[in-house]
Amino acid sequence: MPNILTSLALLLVLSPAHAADSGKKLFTDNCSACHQPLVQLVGPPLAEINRLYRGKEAEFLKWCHDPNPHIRKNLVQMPVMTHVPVADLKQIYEHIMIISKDLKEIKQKTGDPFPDTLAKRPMVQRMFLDKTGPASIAVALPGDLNFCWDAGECRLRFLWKGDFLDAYPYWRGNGNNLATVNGAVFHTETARPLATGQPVKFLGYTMKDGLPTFKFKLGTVEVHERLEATDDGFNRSFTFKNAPSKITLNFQENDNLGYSSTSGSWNGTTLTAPTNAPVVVNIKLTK
Amino acid sequence: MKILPLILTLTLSVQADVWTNTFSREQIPTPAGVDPQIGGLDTFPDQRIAAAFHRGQVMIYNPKTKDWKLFAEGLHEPLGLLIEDDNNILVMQRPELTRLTDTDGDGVADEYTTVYDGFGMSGNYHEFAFGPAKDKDGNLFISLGVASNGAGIREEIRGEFQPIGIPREHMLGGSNWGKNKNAPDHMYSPVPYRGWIMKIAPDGTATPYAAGVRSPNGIGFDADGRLFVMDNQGDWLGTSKIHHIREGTFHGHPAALVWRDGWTEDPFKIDIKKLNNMRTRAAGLMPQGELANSPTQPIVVPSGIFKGISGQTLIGEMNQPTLVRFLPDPGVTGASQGATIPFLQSNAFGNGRNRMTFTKDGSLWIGKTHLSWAGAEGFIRIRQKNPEETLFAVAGVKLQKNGFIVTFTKPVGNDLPKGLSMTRHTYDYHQAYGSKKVDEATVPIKISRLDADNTTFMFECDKSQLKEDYLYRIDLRDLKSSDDKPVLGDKIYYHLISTKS
Repeated sequence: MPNILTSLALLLVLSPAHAADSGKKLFTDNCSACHQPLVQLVGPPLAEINRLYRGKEAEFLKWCHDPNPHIRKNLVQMPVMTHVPVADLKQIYEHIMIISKDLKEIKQKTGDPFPDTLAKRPMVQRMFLDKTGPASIAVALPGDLNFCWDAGECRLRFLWKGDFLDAYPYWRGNGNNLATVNGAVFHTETARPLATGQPVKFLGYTMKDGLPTFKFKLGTVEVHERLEATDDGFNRSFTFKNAPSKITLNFQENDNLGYSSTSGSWNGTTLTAPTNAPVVVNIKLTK
Repeated sequence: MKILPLILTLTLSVQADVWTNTFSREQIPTPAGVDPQIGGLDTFPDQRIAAAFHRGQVMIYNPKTKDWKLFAEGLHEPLGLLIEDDNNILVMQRPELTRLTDTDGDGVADEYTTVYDGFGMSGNYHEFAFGPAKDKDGNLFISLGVASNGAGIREEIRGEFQPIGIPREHMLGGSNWGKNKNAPDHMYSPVPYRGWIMKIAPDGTATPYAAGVRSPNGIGFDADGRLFVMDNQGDWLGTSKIHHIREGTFHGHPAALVWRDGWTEDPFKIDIKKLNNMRTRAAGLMPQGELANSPTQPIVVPSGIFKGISGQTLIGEMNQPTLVRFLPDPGVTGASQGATIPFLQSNAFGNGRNRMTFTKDGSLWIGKTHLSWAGAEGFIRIRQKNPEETLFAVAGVKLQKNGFIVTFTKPVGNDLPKGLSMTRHTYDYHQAYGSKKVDEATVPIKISRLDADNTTFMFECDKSQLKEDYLYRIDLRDLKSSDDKPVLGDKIYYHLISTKS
């Protein structure tokens, strides 16, 4: 990140010779991993600390002993600094006040320095997202449909129409922030169509034409699930290994979606189909 | 490109030192458009290098053509990479250990096979996953970070939930975490095996192998088959550590204990003396600020490279511009202990040294990261300027009843500098973050030569000065070889756990 290089360079330039060496060393040992003079790292920059605590040493010490509630949203909370003796904290305070005098924070560029990471379609990206499990996989289909598949529960979670993800909030930090979907969610699935009550185990996925075929076990049955875009929606195909000859798939009613398939028989949104060939369910977006 | 002049300023402001006189650095351009934070590195038998990047790509670098080629993408924070063969690469990502396989030989992975995902995820950012390291029998070892009390867990988690010591509602918080008055004041392990080292057998069976680590960003075997895991200063860690992992060992951070079979006690309320008796002391210590603040991957120097220290273990470091060399003391029977020594400690090679790999031409390749901490980014290649020359460095440190025998890789000059000295201190073992140096004192020493070729020296002190649980710092400032080369790594930090030889 250019900003970090900038701040490192400036740190070298700005370090004043008259700063007490021990304060500088104490700062390096205890603070510098998270605080830089000009830019926010894990913690706010010294410029901000100077603005908040200039002439307020006692408040600074109080904060070091009880850094709560923290001020900048989306930053993690600072560890309690009681292991650093008060005399040392005072030296650190002096050092910060000297080296950050008259500095103004350089706000990090809000834009993603690598904006094309997720620009192509199709695309697969494992990511922290809201309203799904932490082991989720986001997929952009050709066109404008996207979905989230949860590798923890081994099921489709939701689909959205529009652009893929904004993952920069996650990537610019250490993973504390979620990525967000860039579009309108039009279907949220609350249960796996194959609700067997059997233990589930994720096996991984195979990539073909840029799209994943997810593989998992439900008890002793191995299931492969794949979504592909169609002209008016998407196909969802299931392949079975070690399964009974027929299987029932319960799809969720949704006014936006119309279900049909090349095999099996439907009762409402429930499909019973033979397992000796892939079960391809065509889902038409009706709105 | 405004940033280029600043990088030049940074580079030019770095003065020549003993390290830059001996080693050269080459900045390797990383692929365009790819966030150049590196979480995994390994070398193929044909000397191409595989690198895992922050945003989930695995790319292969060919040092001959200087080309990068995409092998896989879409992974979730890969922080470890191990090549199995030309077509199979293991990658440790946040949610799982994955085997990436190129089944059709087109140079791109088409199978992403889950090797092991039997550990929990609470969604807490600090639950990083590291490894794998492989033993001679093909077992894989991974290390799992605990959740940070700087943030909460998510509504949805993967795996069993364990609220011993902390009720679930105290762990929930999201962006209002700072207002959560009941938030834990220490790292925690809400889901299985956070704070553990896991062993995964070739048949896929996983075993919780050892417990009690905090942020184990670095796992690997040394040349003698010992499994080492690095850990980062924090609660219950006075300073950063090198843990020697053995089956069943507990390494001091209590959060992980809730996942011991049948465990019911609140681990955060265990008396510190009892915890202290339970724990296996760190084989090596790296004093915060002086040597390392955030140690990373261990790697063995292959034979024939960096003459004098081949076969030894080097360790990366993220927040200080250094590597660390670890020298176990083979003479002690009561404990696994040894000395840490700075290596390549120079601003010229920068911070952020997260992952390393060697190639047969003698190059050490270093991948950098920061993940928004004070590391760096990018890919560098370090080469010894004269690879035929034996490095002048400490070769071994052996504890004696009344001091230390220090051996060197080459004869030491006849006139010893006046500044050679020894100090010692210990650290508090407590819940609070880090520790100040405790009971720091100068240890008077007498230095004598033990052999005719000037490579072996006794640093003698009073027997009563040698105490268990202390770190001994020997300062070799200005020491030179008989051919007038300054010693590479002029501090020795010996962690004395046991005096039994």
